[in-house]
Amino acid sequence: MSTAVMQRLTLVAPSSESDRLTRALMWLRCVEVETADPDELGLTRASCDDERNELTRRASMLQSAIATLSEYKTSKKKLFSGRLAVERKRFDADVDKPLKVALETNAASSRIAELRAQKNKKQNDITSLDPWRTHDVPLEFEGTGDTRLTLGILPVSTPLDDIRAGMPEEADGLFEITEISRDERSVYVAVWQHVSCGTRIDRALSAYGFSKVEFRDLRGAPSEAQERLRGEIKEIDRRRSELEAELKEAAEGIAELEIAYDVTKTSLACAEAKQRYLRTESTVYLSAWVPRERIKAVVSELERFECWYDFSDPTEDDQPPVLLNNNAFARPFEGVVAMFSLPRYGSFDPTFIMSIFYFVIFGLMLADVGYGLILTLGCLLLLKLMKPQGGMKQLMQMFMVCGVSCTVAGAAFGSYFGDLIDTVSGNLVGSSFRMPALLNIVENPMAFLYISLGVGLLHLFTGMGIKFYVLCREGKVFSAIFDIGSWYVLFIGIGLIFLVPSVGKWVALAGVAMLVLTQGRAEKNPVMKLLKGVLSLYGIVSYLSDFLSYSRIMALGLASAVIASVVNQVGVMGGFVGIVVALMIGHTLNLAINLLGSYVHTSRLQYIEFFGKFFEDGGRPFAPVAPDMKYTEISDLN
Amino acid sequence: MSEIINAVFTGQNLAIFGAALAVALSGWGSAKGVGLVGQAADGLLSEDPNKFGKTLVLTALPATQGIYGLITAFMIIIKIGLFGTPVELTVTQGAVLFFACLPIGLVGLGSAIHQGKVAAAGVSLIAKKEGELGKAITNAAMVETYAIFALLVSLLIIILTKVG
Repeated sequence: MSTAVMQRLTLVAPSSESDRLTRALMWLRCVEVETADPDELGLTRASCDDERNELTRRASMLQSAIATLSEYKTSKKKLFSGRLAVERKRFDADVDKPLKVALETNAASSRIAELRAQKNKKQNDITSLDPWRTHDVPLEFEGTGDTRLTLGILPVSTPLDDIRAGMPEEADGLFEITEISRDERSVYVAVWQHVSCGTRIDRALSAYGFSKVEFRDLRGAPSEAQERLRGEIKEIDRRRSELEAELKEAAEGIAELEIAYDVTKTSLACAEAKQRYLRTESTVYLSAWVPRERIKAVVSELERFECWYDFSDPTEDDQPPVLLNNNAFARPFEGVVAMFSLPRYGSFDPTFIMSIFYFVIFGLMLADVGYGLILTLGCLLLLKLMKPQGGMKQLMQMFMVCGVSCTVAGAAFGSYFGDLIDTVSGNLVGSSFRMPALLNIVENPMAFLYISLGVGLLHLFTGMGIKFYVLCREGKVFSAIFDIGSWYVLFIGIGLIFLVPSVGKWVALAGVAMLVLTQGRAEKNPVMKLLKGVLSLYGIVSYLSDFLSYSRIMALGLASAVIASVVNQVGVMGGFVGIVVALMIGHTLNLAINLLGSYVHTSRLQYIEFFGKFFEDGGRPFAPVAPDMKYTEISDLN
Repeated sequence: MSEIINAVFTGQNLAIFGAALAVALSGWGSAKGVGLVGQAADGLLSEDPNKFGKTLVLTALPATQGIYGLITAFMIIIKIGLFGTPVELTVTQGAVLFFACLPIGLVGLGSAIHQGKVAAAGVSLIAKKEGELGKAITNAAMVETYAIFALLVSLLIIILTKVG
């Protein structure tokens, strides 16, 4: 019921063993290396920046190659592709070959991008040459010794004759302007002039909006140049498809790159751990946290090395990391606790008790045999096929477990896809058949409300009970009795008023008296003592709002039942086909909405109403040095 | 004139008016709320399209009020027998059903918009810290509490009212 007990491991090993030792500890996944303080011991930090930089570079190289190759992969990817099963010894082997493939792939990929850019440029050149096709002079020709040839564009609005007439008189007969072609906006012209004209004609022309056109890299007459460019584009296409064929072939071996990526990332994880070591000339020193029940495994691994080690309890100043440690049923619910906050190290771990309430409340909110079975079987299937890891795996396992409680609650309330059987048999067969039920929540919602509030009362009382236990464990027995016990007495008294009014009244009053007399005990002034005591009664408002908050169980449970019944009602109007469509679309939608709602609101009841009573937050998650695997899993786990 | 009033304000019509109001108000709120989150989500997606799945959950949160309104309306439609043989309602009974729709209609409208604002802020939270989706959802769900209570009261009044 407490977070896992941690032990501090202090270890000194020869530098030559540092690598192998780190790897061995990594595979155990239960050693969190602390960043050691070099000044305290007068040692220097073991720097492995070079190794880390190199590994990071390799990882990003492999990653971009994998991204490139997965685009060229022709063999169909399976919808639910699991991870590659890889033997552990692969993680010690070198990755030179896949690295070479990655290097080639990245080179080919950037070459393809380059070719694509070249092709674009050439295509633009071809288009820009189109208006000049009838101009049969080589593009590089700029004139003879005495003449100068300029190509350019004029706006279509000014007739060429006007321009000719508008030229300076002294240039008369020394220049010629000919139209090559025109489109809606522009006239493409060639301007011949005698060198003696200087820049006069240019200036006059620019007044008419003339702009010069130059083809720097192109040679030969425009139509020839276009032909040549087309030939070059063909060559570019050929080289590109050659490269693409190579990549397609390489893509078949993408698995090797994926393995190499995981191997590299795993080595990087080791290097990150080694970064935190301290060193002397020939030894390394490290300080780490190990969960107590894993010490045996760590010791048997360490025995294989030449090293000195010691385990010790955490001191007062230490802040050990927090690892939740629960049974198989409660483990999937650890994610719900972690989402709120991890409990402080050594404080009460509520996961197991919470998981029971989570299971019950979730089942009541989504009480339906059909939905429950879909949830359980669906999650089971996804877990088998997708093999998710980490938080996703936990969430699916949790929904799989909660599907069971939905099914049980659904059977109790006679809900099978809502009132599907009832509606269908009534409308299509003629005689409506009712599934047996302990309680029909739509017809008797008040009973459901009492159940919801009853679960809530139990939940709240358990939360208070945990606080009672925690206070007692800390030796504050009086605090437990005064701060929690008084409320118990008061609430039990209020409950008794409804059953045995004569007794209940007095029990409740005893509770009130306990509160008034004890809640001001921290004050010195007797008036303040009394005042504080009386004011503490105001706390009943917050307890009441917590209690009524559980009516949401009934509201959400009723909502999913009513939506399901609406879906069925609308469905039967469409006859047999309507039923099928209603089942497929309507119930999927209802399940999705209420799954989200149940998840969110069950969590909320834990966080606000339950955890609020006792939870001590602020734990730092346990982060052991571990292999970093994205694509693979180990096939020979020992 | 009194003929018109008598024809319009029958028990049946009052109940239908309530059902229409429940759907319209809560649907209006949800449309506004979902719209707010959707805009924020698109902003995030322009930078990182991979977060679509995460933003979708937040976008869906303010949609529930509209659904609660729909449930309420359907409960009334079933109650007054529009699917089969219409149930005779007195004006008082119709008025009670009408009043029953006010909680989910009004609270649905308000809470969906405010939930939308919180969820939109949640989108910027996951833009910066991807792992904090759970907290963003929980905060947005706090607002929904009041829509749930409103639905609860609406449904209880409808179910517990005896008609016909």
